[in-house]
Amino acid sequence: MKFSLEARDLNFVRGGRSVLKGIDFHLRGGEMVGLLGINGAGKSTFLRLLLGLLRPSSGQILLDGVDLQDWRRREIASRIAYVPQAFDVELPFTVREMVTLGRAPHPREGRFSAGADRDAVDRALTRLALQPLADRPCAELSGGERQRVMLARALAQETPALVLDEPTNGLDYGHQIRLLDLLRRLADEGRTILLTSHHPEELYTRADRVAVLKEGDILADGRPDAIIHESVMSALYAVPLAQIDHGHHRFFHSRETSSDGYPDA
Amino acid sequence: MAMLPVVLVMALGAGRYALSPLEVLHALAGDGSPMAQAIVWHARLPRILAAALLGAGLSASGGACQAVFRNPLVAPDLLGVLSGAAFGAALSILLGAGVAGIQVGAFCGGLLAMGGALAVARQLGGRGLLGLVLGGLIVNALFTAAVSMLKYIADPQDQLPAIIYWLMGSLSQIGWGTLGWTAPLLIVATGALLVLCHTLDLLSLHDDEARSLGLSVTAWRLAIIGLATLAAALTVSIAGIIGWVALLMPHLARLLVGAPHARMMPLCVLLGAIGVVLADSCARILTPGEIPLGMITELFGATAFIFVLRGVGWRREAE
Repeated sequence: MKFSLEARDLNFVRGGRSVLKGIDFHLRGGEMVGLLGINGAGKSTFLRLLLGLLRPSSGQILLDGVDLQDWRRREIASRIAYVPQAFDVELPFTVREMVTLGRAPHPREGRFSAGADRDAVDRALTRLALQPLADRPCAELSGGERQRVMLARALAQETPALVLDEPTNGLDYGHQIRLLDLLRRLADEGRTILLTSHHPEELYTRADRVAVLKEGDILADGRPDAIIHESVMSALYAVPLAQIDHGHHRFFHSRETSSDGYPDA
Repeated sequence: MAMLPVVLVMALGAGRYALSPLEVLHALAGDGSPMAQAIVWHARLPRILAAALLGAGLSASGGACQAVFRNPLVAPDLLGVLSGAAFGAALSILLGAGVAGIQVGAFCGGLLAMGGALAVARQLGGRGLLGLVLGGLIVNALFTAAVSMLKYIADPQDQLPAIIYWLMGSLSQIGWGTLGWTAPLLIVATGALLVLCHTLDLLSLHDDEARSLGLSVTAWRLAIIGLATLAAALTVSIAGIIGWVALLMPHLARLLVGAPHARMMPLCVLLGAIGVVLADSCARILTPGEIPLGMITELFGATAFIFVLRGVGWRREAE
């Protein structure tokens, strides 16, 4: 699916503090890109800017070559689906009803589209193994199950691109692996995926590209084997790390053990 | 849906001069006894229609507010509509206005309060929910204080009782004249909220989620708050302060058909109409005099709320 999302010299200032400083970034169609960064590096802010949920202080975001500000919100919603970090719902929507809201950006064309909506919702529920939970109220689900509902809603949106903010957060290990593999399959099917993560290892085998955000700027951007490297990771996380390669996988461990893990200063 | 006409006919028949359903239908068709026709057309019909419309409008307003504020425990008074309306009515009573003057005063007071809440929210720099809630809180406090002040300076012989009685809520002074200007507006506001069910679904999500699903959140939130306030202010101008309906009916509807507003809102409006018609019938016929409608809805509403909360709703929402 043809898709392009580009940030040019993107700046964002909040409360007098410069959160993002002149970022240049290009997300191309069919890529799966991982975004690493420490807590507070501005990852979520960057995603929200890319989705048009925040306005940049300066710079430009181009969706399919057109300035994002010239797009109508519903048109953006039919190009990019968003899976936010937290999901809280006060009203007792069931899983199926919540996933059906993903059809909102698609205009209703008479009664026939109701069938198309239902098919898209069923496909999304099946893909996330949510059919057995379809009639349960979302409020009764665990954090991990809710995360899958959010992803199912984004899939039901049937957009060429998915932007996910720490999608594996709160998932058990099995669901983490299944979800990341699903994202990889979606990318192989031609969808564009951008996700933030705190786990370099999980991006190493699956992402096509990894970008590293540090202090409001892109510190590094390239192929996973070049970026998810002990030198870059040590600089990013400010912890001396050593890497271990095992087959197609790469793991990290700390080079030194201090008493409490924080510098004495 | 079929229940509403049945309840309406029964309510039209109930009263000190009781009429059978058949007599009511004859009177409505214009071929009953002159006495029955006079009672049905001039005494009871405007009041019962007003009760139905008021119940529908308050419930729609409550359902919309609960979606917009993403909180099942809010009602239209969150933005100070009721205290503003109370101030408008009390001021009109103090200035010696008649029934129509009090109604217009209440309506304007309600809208003024909402405008005030929005202005305070803007001053606080927040266009988000928290700013609105804080704005409502401040405006509510201001108007409540102002009503107390008006009560304090009111003439204790006639003005003070009039203010207190008005604040209790009643339909005893309703006539075709009041319905003439309030009914069309109330029908439009309620109808618009019913049409916007899908928007209400999205607004009940967090702002980022709703926006990423294609909704212009700020504009739609203001539009729906405007409609909900209009509906609530109109009901207050018709009947004074009628508590609990706006809070209870959306819960009851959600308990029966779930959260999606396309299912929940029509039922909520219907339940509100039936509930207030029944409550007003009780207000008319339980005692030889008249019990204020607001007291009946508070009594029944608070009791019924316990049972509704014991149902599915509360446990889920508390978690």
